[in-house]
Amino acid sequence: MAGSNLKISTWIYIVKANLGDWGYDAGTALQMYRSRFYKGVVSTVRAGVITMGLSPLAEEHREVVYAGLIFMGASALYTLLAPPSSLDLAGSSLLQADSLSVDGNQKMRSASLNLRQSIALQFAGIAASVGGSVLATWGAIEDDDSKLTNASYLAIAGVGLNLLANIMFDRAGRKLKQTASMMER
Amino acid sequence: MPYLANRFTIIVIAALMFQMIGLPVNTIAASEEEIESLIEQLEDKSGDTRIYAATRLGHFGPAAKAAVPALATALNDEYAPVRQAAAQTLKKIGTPEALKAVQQYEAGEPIEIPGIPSVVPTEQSTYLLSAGRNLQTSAGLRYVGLGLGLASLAVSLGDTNSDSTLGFTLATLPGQAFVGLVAPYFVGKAGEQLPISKLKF
Repeated sequence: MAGSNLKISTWIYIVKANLGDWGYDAGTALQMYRSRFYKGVVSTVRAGVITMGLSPLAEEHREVVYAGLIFMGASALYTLLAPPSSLDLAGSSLLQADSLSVDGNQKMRSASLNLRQSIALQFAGIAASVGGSVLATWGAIEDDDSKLTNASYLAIAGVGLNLLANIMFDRAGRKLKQTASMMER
Repeated sequence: MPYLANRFTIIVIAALMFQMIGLPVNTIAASEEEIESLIEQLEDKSGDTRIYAATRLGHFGPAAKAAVPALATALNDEYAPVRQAAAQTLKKIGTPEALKAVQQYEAGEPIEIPGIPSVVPTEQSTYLLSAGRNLQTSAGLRYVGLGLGLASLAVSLGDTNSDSTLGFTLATLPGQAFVGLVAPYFVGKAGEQLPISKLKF
């Protein structure tokens, strides 16, 4: 008898027992996304300012300027690549909310899947955009129209992939809202 | 035969006496197995089955007090007829816990489930709702950024005049930069809403 009573109020019970843990983990991961992004932006801007400041030395100490440019490039890459990887942690934390209720579970699993799809698409989009930029620069240096055309296609692919990644992100947000409305009376 | 006739007479007299002193004569003998089965049926996928289970439990009166937690949970059912049937049955059961749950239901307050510590789902759902909204705000800002990026790409592909293309791209650039910088802020804000563990259960 007690078992069946517990089963009936499973979702409320599990909300009390587990919501804190996965909520905390997923929340921390999402905050990490923000902090990594802004850390990367600040680092890139700082590297840019330092490189600009060192540019008068370019004739005598070319290596110093190169070092500044490399630091700036690395910071920019960090800004692009590091934040999406924390979404993976958020996604796996949401997956731990495995026994909210049958419907709540499905929504959370779906939100988690959407976040992970968003990561894969974001990385693919970044790869296409970076590849397009490299190809465009190469094409401009060699004055090769075919490389420039291919770079355009890669840029379009990059935008398309980013758009899809954003759709998945949007859907994850919607699933959270739907779960919330399921928790209301 | 006279024995059976006597027994029938006794039952009729007893029923009449119960009626006179106000006890419900339709309260049927409690079968623990049936109550247990009805409690399980309150979780059934079919709304009709849940309505039946909630109504049928009412026939047992106070003897169905073991079903109070399940019926209190059914007050949150997505179908109004299930909620109404559960409320009626809880009134018939009449224990203090049952009546408290009905009172909370009728007042529109969060219902405390007997035997389980109090939980306020509306408060938790507010946090989750806010997190979802923030994720969508971030996504919305990124849509704007992508839209501006696509527009400048389309212009650069379609327009041979490099000066005007450059001018358009430069004009959209601050907007793209702004939404690109602000969008992650809302992701972090969503993250602030999710650690609901700060709530005391």
